[in-house]
Amino acid sequence: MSTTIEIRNLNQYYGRKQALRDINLTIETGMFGLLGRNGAGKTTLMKVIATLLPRSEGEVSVCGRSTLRPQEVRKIVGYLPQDFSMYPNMTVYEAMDYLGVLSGLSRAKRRQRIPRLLQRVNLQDDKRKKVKALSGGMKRRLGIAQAILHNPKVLIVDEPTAGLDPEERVRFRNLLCEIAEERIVILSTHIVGDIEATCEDIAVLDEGSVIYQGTVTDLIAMTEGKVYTAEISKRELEALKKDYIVTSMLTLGNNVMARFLAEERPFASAKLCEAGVEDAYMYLMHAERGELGC
Amino acid sequence: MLGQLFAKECKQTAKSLIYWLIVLILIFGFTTQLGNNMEIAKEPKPGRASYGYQASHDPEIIMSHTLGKLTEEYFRGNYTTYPIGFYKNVTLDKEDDHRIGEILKEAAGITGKEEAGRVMEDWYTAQTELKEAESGGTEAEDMGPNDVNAGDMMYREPLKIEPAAGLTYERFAELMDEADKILGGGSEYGKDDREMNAEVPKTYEDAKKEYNTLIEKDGLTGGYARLFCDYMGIFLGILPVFLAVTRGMRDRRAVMQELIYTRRCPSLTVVASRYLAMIVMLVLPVLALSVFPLAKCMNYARTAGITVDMLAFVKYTFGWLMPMIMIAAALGMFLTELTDTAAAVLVQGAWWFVAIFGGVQTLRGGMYGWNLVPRHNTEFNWQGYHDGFAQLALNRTLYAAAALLLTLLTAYIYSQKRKGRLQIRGKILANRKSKS
Amino acid sequence: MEKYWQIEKVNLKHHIPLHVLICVLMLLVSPLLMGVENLQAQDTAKVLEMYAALIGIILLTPVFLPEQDRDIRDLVYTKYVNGSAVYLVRILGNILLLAAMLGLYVGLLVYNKCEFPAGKYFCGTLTEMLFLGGLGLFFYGLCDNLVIGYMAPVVYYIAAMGGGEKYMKMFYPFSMARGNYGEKVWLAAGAFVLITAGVWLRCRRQRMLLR
Repeated sequence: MSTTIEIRNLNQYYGRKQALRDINLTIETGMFGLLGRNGAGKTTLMKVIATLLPRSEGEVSVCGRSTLRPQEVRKIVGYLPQDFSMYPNMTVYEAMDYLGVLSGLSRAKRRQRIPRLLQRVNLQDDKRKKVKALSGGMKRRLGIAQAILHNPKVLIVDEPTAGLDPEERVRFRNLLCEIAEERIVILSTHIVGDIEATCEDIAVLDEGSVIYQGTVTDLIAMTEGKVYTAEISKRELEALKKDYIVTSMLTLGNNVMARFLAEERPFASAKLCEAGVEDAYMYLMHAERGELGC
Repeated sequence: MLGQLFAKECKQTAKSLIYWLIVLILIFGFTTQLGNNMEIAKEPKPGRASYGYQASHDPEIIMSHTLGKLTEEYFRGNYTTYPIGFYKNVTLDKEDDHRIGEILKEAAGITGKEEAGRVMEDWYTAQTELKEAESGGTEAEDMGPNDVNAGDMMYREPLKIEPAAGLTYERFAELMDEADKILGGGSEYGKDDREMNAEVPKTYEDAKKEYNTLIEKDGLTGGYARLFCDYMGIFLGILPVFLAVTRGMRDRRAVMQELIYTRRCPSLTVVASRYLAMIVMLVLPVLALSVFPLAKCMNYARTAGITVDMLAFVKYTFGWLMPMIMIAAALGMFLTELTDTAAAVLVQGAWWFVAIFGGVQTLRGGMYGWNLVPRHNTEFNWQGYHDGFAQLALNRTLYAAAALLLTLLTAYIYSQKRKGRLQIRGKILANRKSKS
Repeated sequence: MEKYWQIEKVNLKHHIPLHVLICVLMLLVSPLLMGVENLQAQDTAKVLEMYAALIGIILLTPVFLPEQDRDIRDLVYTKYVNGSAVYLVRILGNILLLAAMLGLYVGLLVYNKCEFPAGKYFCGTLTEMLFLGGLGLFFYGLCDNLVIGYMAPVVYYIAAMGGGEKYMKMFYPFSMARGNYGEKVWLAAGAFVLITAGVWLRCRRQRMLLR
């Protein structure tokens, strides 16, 4: 049986607005990152895979099961939306139990799996807490636990790290990596750091189209030799911003240490440096729109 | 899966505020309407001045009473009607008024307003004299002619007009049907009403027979179970919708919809488990409340040495009240799933309003029609119940079936929404990337 | 002033057009359900108290609804300094709308030759509307649940119909039909308390949530 997600010629419309354009993707076991601006179509794509939206055109199959038969797909997919909660007056355990029943797990299976999962997401001491009393991070972890409750082959998580503090975020990313050892995990984010830390394969979406698909290493390689840093005055910074994509800056007294993208060395004091995912992403986004100032 | 979900839904319902509010209202409704002032009927003793009134089935009496009403209203120039139940005063234009005059002439031989007025006056004088003679001038029973609450009670006898010589009952019925049509329906002259019009005093024998029927045919409890249903129905015709709407909106409110949508559980199972839980949880307090009148009946039966039908309240609760709970809950679920708003409250509210005011005319029972809230505001009238039973059974079956159909439709809508279709409320809003 | 007008404009444009439409429809279909011509004072009172007053529930109960969504609530409450101002403006606007609709309806009754003291009945009916709506608004604010908000006045109405005069005493809503007017003063006071308390509860809840 197939263990990949195959997306062929997927087009998605909301009325007249086209949300996805001719998407072709093959997603294999492990972490897969979806990167893009807000409104690029990441959530739409994930909802189509999770059978929450009917696809308008094209084919989507999840481990050999077409999304035209949602019942089949739902058995093997776990989904964690960006905005979610649970009945506030239920306890953590009750909420898990309720969703477990909806997933068709027997009483014995639920008794066995739920405590184990709560332990895995470090909520074992909070199982009697009401859902409404949970912090944002705890709720996210509970979200992951419910999504893998029925041991799905595919886990889809939409912007899971939004709103988490840095420590929670790191912990959460590690948890996802562990889970991805045995299944497909699709992770969407607009935070480049998440991708850098977790994903090998990624796709970048822009205005509904895939503008890059491949490994993170290849993406960075595209930008190799195009990232420079220079210490310039604040006045010069304005001029620099007009001509180049500035990916970061650090104020040093009256001067600024700027990091920017350029096809070739723009001036003598600019120093070539090693590219990161963030640089590569910015390069990609602007190259796609023909905005690269060089 | 259904069984486990059902149990969980019941537990959730038992923990919800709205459910306990509904239970409180039911208790309140029961105690104020029935609980405190329910007296078990005693066996009538001979020799009392009055045993109340009852409807007559004698054509002669029906004709004379109905024509009396028509004369009175024709003379006054306005007519009381209840088109779908709410009080309406009809004043006719010249042409229609003239036609009523003709009808009255053919049916009763009364020509014109003046003669009608004379007849009225004679009757009124006779009544006043009768009343004065009876009360012997005591103040207590004296009701002024302007006292609206007095109604017909201030007259010892309603106005009766003998039908014209040779008028057959068939022709009389035709004429009255025409008058009812002219008045826009719901008047005193339509079929149901004119048969109820003829109130005659009950004799001791009548009262005794009525009592015996209650004991023999109804096993005492049957009559009180109907009375119980009559009162509880007023509340159960609307309250379930509040529970259903709240349940329907809970998933969205808790932002839990997508977590549930992506589970493997079939939509029908989800919807059916919720629906069943609502019905069961609403029937339970009703059954619990019915224990009180049952206990009262049993108490009385023990002292009077009667055997009672122990299961009457259970039977009536399931047969009479449950279809009502079913349809109100199903409608609530359906409209909430369809619109994601509380629109069902408005719809059920409007239906309830029409049902209640429409039922005012049929309080006595027996005329159940298609009313959502069938009325039978007496422990007696077993005969009416017996005669109207087929209609009542049809009525209840229809609503129960409609409820099941609505539940299936709800499951269909639910399954479509799960797949991202039929999202009436803000398609773009629902799929929008929310700000972070 | 400008700010308040803006709030009301948004209310009129986005939040209540449908509710107003329902109210207008309810009043328009009334001649099909009951008599609205040539009525005596007490029959007119019945139409006004038992039917027309119901639109108060429809228009006043859902004033908290636009901020039901937590995100929007947080957003709105960080924008406006005083959350209750938004509600009070909306409530006031809706009361004016109710008064306008009722005014037209009373006008219609007068035009149809119903004999009744128009001004007095107008005030009495408006008072009852505010009380019914106030009940809804209060329970919505108290329980943070729109459905409970609707249920409260509906149950109150049912109880009043079922011989509730005995239990409701000075808060009996259908007093004009019995020729009494004193209850309306109590209802007015009750409406004021309910609306104020409802808004206060809602805003207090707001602060609790933001904390």
